[in-house]
Amino acid sequence: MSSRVPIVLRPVERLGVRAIDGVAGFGDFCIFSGKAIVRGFAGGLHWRNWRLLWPQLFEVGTRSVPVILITGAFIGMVLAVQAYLQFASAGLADRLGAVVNISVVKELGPILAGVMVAGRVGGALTAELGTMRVTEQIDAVRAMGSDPIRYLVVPRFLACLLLTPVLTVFCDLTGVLGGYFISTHVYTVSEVPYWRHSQFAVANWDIATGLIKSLFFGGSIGLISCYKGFNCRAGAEGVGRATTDAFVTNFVVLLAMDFFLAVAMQAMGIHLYGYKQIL
Amino acid sequence: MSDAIIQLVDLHKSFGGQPVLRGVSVELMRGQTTVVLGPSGCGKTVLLKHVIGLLQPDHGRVIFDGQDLTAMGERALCRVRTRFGFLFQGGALFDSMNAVENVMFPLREHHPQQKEHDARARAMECLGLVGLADFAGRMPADLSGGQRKRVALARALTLRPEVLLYDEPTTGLDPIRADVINELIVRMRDELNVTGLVVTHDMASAFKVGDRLIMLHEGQVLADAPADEFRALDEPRVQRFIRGQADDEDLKGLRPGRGQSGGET
Repeated sequence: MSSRVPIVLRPVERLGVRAIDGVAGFGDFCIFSGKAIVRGFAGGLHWRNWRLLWPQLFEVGTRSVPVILITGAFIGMVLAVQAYLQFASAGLADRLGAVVNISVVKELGPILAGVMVAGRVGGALTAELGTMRVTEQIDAVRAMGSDPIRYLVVPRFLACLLLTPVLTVFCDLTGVLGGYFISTHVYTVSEVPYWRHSQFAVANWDIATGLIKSLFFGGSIGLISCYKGFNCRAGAEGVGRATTDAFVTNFVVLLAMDFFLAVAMQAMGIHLYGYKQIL
Repeated sequence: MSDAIIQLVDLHKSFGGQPVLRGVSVELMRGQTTVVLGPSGCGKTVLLKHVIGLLQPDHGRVIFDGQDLTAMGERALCRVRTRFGFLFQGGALFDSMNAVENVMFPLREHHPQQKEHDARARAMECLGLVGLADFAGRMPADLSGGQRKRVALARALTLRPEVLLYDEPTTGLDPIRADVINELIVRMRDELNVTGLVVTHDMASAFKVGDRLIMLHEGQVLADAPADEFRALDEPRVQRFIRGQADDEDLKGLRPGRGQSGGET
């Protein structure tokens, strides 16, 4: 087929093929996601589906808690270290808490919790489902008259969707404590103004912004990771490539989604509560 | 009335522009074991997956018990599939479950109201049928290749299927273990009256389990005969396959100085 195309037009042909593959792949992902979402909510009340969900909740949630706590603590601490000198030299050291805490709660907590879930859970999901595909276990589920999306994808998607916000709360908590510890115990910021300015700066809407974003992050990690596993190529190389691909895609999608959600939530916040100056 | 339980009508299937099935038409008789033979890559497994709707043909129909599977949606297909059992080449046991949990899987999925005790009793009965009741607690990784296939067969039997599909059931097994699997396939037909479709290139297995043998070649049916007549067929490619004898075309790539390396055009 390719031999009929003049040599000068071959790059154009390749570009066209890639574009068509890309659009078809995105369409396929949308259909896959639609099925997972519909079956996730439609089958939510069946006991047999709950039975599948518990192990995934444990795997995605409980097992991720330690790494999320550590990540959050270090993020809070490093923010305080980086910001303290600038704030102190401007005579604003008391307001350090406002910047550290709003950064953690609105932005860094959700995105880093999302990245940790993508790395720890997303990669494992893709590798597990990819191996199941390669060893025909997914075909076996279908051959036994079950729906692999309901049986394999829905519990993993729901676990990521429901628990990423919970993990974000843990990340926020240790981030806030880490920033507080460095600011008041290593540097010389007084506790009372530190917390007073934090209380003024961080509103419920800011916390909600972070948690809503993390809900989207969790859902996308679950869907992308499962999709990559379901569509991985044969062999060990196929599984490895799908796992890497899932992590890279998850990471890029998280950052892009974070940007667009931040813009939308900020506009919504200003519309609802007005602009608030924290410094 | 024909006693065919499955009819494959003019099946065509291509992957990436490469034709794999090119107009295969076959009828499978109720209560018989039919063996599909052919060299690796000739489309045997693809054919098997069409029978249960795991693959959809580009053209043609699959009729099971009067129902056209190619016209069904996935949900209706799921219901039909519970009347089949499928033994995958590598067993396809779930790594995260032990043997008895694997065998219980179809019961948990299709009879969720059934008591755990009853489901376990049925699973143990099926493991007993394949002689592995003592291995119920073993994980798939702790089972040999033959044991994995027997557990997979027990799992395929759980819902009392009318049709059992076997994908290369003896491949990768030593002759003794392979014969155990052959005996089990014969028992499934004789004792449970299950219709069987076996895909294999193991001639010993084919003649032992098959009532009827079909040979595929380049995506088409090359020969179709009862087992006792198959050996005498006057078709050189069939005879070479039975004897396991490569021809000049197969060996071309191995001989230096005899043209190109036998690559496909």
